[in-house]
Amino acid sequence: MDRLMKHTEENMRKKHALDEKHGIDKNPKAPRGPLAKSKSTNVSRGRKRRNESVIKLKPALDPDKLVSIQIPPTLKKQLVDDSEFITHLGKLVKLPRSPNVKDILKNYFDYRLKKCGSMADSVEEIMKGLCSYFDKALPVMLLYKTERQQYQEACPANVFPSAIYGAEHLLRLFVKLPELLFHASIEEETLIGLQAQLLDFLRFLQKNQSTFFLSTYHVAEDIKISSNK
Amino acid sequence: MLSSICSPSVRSCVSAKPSHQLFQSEIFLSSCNLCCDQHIKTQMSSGGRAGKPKEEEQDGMSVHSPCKPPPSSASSLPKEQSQVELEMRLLEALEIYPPMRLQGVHRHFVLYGLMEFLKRKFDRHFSSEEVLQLLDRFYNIEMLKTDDDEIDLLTQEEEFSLPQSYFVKEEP
Repeated sequence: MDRLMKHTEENMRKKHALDEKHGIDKNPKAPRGPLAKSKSTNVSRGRKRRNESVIKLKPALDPDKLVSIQIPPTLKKQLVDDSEFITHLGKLVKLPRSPNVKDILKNYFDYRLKKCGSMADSVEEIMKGLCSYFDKALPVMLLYKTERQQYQEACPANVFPSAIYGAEHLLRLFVKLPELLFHASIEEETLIGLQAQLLDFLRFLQKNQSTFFLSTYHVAEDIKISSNK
Repeated sequence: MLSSICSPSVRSCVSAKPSHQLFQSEIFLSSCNLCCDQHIKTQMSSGGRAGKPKEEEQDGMSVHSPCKPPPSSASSLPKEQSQVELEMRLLEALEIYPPMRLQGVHRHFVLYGLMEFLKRKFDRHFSSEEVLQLLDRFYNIEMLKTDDDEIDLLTQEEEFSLPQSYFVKEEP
């Protein structure tokens, strides 16, 4: 009513009269009848939708709106080998890694700084962004089940994963990156530029594949014994 | 608050309205500088809804306004205009990038987004420092509350897995 009609005193009086007639409470926080337990206070929603607010559904991501990150074939193979080592052969990446994620991101920034000087601070922001995503995402979505115990042992609460883990886990972030970036709501034009920057970073990883990535993974038991010594 | 010095008609001139409530009066005032500067002056000189100390009224600008008082000489006018333009573009950008995202896990990419947005609009490089200083006129970023917790993606623990397409061998 108040949205359809002009905001005049007379219309406001009509609104109040109607509100009173329909028993609409001015204070929506006060519990009323069967809706008291529902989070929703919007009475116009009707009975059918009463319980919807309780069930939290994962929002569906539109694939067309996700940034596409083309991981170079050799790095894709690295990811497949990584998966084989961990899920099929029961091996683990020995931690802490050197260079760690922070070192790698810093290396890339230094490399770009030499190339484009002061303009590199957009690169710096992207590197910091990747580091922030990595620290948050590692325990939530970048570990295989068999790596979880190792994470508990190697990564105490006051230490960031980017200081412990290396390129193997950083590369996994790129598989999840489109989903994460979706929530940053970056506009399309900027996203195209960002896509190019991320691809350049991946090429840098590819170029340094032999120094950044482990060639052999360790048997889980060996890691436990060596860390107990 | 300072916003009380402006009439509702001045308020309606503000096109950029970030959803965040913090420091809205400052945002509003700075926006006024662009489109309603003259309007404010008129309102104030005619008594309007002012009720503020006289020293604020002398030049028609609020001492709390992010912009400096209008220049006395015409030569510095373009500089003032560009400053106002800059603030307006930033407010426009904040419609795309909610200020609350300047805290939390997305903060760096949001700052990157703002840098790129301004770079496109003004055709020059903006450093992260410059954008942060500009933002500082409107928001106390440290006080902003992130909405990270609302993103289920980073709160629901799940096992990592590669998409099936990674295991399909490409034809030579």
